[in-house]
Amino acid sequence: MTRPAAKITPRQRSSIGAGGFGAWLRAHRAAIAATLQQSARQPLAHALTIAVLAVTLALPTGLFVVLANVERLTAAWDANQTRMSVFLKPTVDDAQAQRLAASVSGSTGIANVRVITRAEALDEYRAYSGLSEAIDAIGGNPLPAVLVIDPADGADLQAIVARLRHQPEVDTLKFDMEWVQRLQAMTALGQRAVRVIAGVLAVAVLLIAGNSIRVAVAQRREEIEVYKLVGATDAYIRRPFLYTGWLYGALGGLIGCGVVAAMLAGVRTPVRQLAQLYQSAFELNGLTWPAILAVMVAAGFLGLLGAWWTAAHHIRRIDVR
Amino acid sequence: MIRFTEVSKSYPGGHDALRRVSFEIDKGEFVFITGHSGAGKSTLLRLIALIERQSGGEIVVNGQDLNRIRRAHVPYYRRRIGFIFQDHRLLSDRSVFDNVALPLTIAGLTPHETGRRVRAALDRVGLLSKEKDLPAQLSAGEQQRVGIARAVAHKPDILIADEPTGNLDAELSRDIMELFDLFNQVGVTVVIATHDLDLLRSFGHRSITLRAGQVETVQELVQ
Repeated sequence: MTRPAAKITPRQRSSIGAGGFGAWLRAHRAAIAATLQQSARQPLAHALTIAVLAVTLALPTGLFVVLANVERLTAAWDANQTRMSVFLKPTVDDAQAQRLAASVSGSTGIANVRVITRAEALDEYRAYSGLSEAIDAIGGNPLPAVLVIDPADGADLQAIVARLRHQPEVDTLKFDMEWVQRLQAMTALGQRAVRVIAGVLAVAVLLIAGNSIRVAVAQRREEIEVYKLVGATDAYIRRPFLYTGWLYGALGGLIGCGVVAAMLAGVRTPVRQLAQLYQSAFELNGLTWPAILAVMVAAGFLGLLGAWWTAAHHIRRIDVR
Repeated sequence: MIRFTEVSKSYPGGHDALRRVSFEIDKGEFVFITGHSGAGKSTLLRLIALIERQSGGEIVVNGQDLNRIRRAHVPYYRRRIGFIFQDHRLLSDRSVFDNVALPLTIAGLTPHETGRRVRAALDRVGLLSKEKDLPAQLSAGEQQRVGIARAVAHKPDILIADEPTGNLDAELSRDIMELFDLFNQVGVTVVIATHDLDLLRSFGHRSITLRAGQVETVQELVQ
């Protein structure tokens, strides 16, 4: 502020009009009306921009949903994190398996033992692998029986493992914990990757909205000149474009969520069946309304920001010819 | 009301549109700016409306030094001026009513007040019955009158017109000029750039003649 501002008194400013809250409200109402009129006039251009934004937003939203579900899954496994699967030798029949289970469950440090008999294993495999004909062709049951063991809290795991390994019936022994640890490591990596992708796509949303607004400003150049001629401020001219940018983002977010919901609905049944394979009642969590609202708010903000960034710059450069 | 002191305007590339132009226009006066094309008439009007800034000298309008009006205040300054172009510059996708209402809506008037003033302005230019028409449905003379209605709807202190009759025949031109006379009679300062000398002579007003960016003659009340 090195140069003194021109003296424009409030009286001069309002020589033809009202100021204050009423005028401000009317200006916004006019901007919303202008926004809707523009959309009605060029429905295809607007629909295309919103569709592009929806696809762009569906990717990070979908990834976040998948990640949230994986986290929920691994968190559930944490509760019985030391569950181990003991695969018995193929020669061990179901009766021997039951006897071994009984002896193991009686020993110290064991909370629970469950037997998956060879027949049960075969049934599950038939049901979910889709290879029942191949199994029939082989004849007989190639699958071993399995003991699923939950050690007691604070039990000496090394001792239990050593003891089980010495049983003649035992073939291999697997800590599910290893899987959980691997999954958790992958989840952590996934989280980071999703954040990076989300960041990149946020910039994309900014650019898409900004570019659409830039084109819209250029298309309406003559109109903007007339507005400036009759005394419209840059802020007044900018307002409908900002509403448009916000609307692009919010609607793109809503439709993007719709795309994700549709994809989730498509995989819900297979996921449930897969979970049953692991004796889990796991259900895929979809998008909640608060999550959808959050996506819309964030995307709306990005749209607004993109619009502001270009509209401010380009409207400023236009003046009456 | 409008005072030019040694005003110059040069464009990048060295073209001098105005060179040390000085004159004064009183409040409520009706003045023609005349001269050949390229003499600087348009530039002069554009400086008054702050569409462009002078390169040198001082312009004072209504007691305000235009050099001291910051960019952000230009819109408020323009709301006190009515500007009319040769090519009327109406918004082709809006009705006559909406075109005339534009400066009022921008200034934040209530819809009621806007409606009242728009109809008053349209009544003055004789187009009250066409408020719902689109500009393209009107004749050239009618379009120019809508442009005038838009320029006067917000009751400006100064009315500036750049070749307002350039596209019109003699009879329509007279009608338009009489309209400006009418606004002048209620106290509006009117400045019109024109090269139509016949028309100019039939109205008894002062005229400032420009030649190659300089004031050539100032004629008082030619009759």
